[in-house]
Amino acid sequence: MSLSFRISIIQWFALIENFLGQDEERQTYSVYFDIMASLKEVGMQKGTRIALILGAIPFIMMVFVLPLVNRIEPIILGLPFLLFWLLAWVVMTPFILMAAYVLEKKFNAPEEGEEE
Amino acid sequence: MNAALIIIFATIIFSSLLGIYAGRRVKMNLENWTVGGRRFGIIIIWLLMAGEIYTTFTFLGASGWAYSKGAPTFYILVYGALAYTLSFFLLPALWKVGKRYGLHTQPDYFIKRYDSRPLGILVALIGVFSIMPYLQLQLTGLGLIVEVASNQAVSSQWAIGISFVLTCAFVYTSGIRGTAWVSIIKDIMMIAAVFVVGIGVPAIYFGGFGNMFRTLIEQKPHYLVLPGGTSHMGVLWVMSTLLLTGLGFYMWPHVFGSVFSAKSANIIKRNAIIMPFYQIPILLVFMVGFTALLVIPALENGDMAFLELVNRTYPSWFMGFVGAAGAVTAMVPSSILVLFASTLLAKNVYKAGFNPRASEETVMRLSRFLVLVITTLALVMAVRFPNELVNLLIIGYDGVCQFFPGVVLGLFWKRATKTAVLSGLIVGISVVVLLIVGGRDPFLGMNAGFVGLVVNSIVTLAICLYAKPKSPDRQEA
Repeated sequence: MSLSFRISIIQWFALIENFLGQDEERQTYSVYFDIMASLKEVGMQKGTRIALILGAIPFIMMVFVLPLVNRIEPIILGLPFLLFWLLAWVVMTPFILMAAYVLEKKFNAPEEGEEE
Repeated sequence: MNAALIIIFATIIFSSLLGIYAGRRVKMNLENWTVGGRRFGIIIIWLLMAGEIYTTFTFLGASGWAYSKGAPTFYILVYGALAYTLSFFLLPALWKVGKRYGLHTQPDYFIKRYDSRPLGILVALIGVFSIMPYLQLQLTGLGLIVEVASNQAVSSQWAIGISFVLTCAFVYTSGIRGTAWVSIIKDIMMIAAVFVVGIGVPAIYFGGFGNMFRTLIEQKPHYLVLPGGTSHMGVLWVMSTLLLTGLGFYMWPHVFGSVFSAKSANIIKRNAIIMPFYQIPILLVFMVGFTALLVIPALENGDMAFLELVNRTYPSWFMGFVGAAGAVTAMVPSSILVLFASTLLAKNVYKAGFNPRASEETVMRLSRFLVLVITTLALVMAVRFPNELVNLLIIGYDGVCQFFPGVVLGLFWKRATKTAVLSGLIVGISVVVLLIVGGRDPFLGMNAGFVGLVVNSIVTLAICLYAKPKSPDRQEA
């Protein structure tokens, strides 16, 4: 972390800022969407938290577990194990999302202006 | 004039007429042309999304990879399901923002959120640059399919020429509505073709897919586990590719833009739930590729496996049906690619960059004119350099994925700044280009695009955190 490294970072900033243009008194961050900001004030609701946990399941089962399931045996329903495993979780995904949808609705405060 | 030829041309012409009819009674302005007036319900959104996502490349490529690479092809089955899971959380928020600010395109989002026209222009240019080889790939695929399906009665140039003039016509008149309507024909025909061939072919040659897999395991024991028939597509490569393609999926400008055409955020959310069902036909496509490997093992080009096997197994009229399905499967994604490439150029490059006061009518007229230009350009590319754009396609795909931090942080994190997002984007894309051009893909066993995305995210986050909040309302993180 030498001085020259810091200087090069500062130069980089100058370059980018120059490219983007610093007209008026623009703040470092620009327009944060106000509807998102109002959501933030409520904080993350219980339903959303449950939904996010459910949403992690497909990623865990189809990506992070991959080193453990990279095998042919046992053959299930005529499919080699790796293919069976991935297919099973692809088929499960809509049901997981369905559960996330239902639980989110149940535990979150009803959103205004949301139609059926 | 054979039966196959009649089926192919009847389908192409009927689809285009339907596409033109779709926009007949709608007054065309930019809002109707690009996002269908934000009026699409759940069924039409599903068809539209499926229509643009499942392309000729999905089918020829998935069977071709099964044929030539084995297990690494499984990623094509999985990444969509990951993308839909992510979209369940991401897209409803994006839709609301789009509705609130009247956004039409991806660069619109960047311009609005980061209040920076140069950033929007850069995003638009990267988008168009990525779309062009993708479009060209669709054209080449279409030519290939029709040429084989018609038993060489139509040369691929003619097939490409005719279907693209027609595609151009319905994009010009109806915009995204045309794409949505033609998707209906495309989805029905393609699913029918895939089910007949995917279930039929293993049954005809091996009495069922169980026996087919048993034979394959006996002959090539390691083909069905990673890294399959390749040396570099191991577990790490598949994991990194899944994360990259799963996260980057909705970053394609045309897919991103179609989100805005839904009627409500709730529709988008429910669509995310049902989309993964559309992955199942891909399993059947694998079956075709694997059967082809056992039945016709010495093909020079693996991507031809599907067509060659169908040709050898079924009567010529059915080959015509497959050819027709393949042709509309290329036309639907192409139409939306052309639509968004021209809108990006007209609205986000021309208007944002050169003429901020241009009226909406001018932008609309220019977009329509650019439809003709882009189609012509893609035709020339497809005929002149059919096989030389593979690297560009990979760079394009990895390139659009680099929008991910800017989109997600922009939605959910107040402190995301334009400086950070632009720096991340530039660094991410540079890493991708350097690795791919330098022949270092995969890098340490990982997909180069994923390496780019990781570096990009780190740079973006670091600069966001480095920029100290100045005003009191920036305290929350």
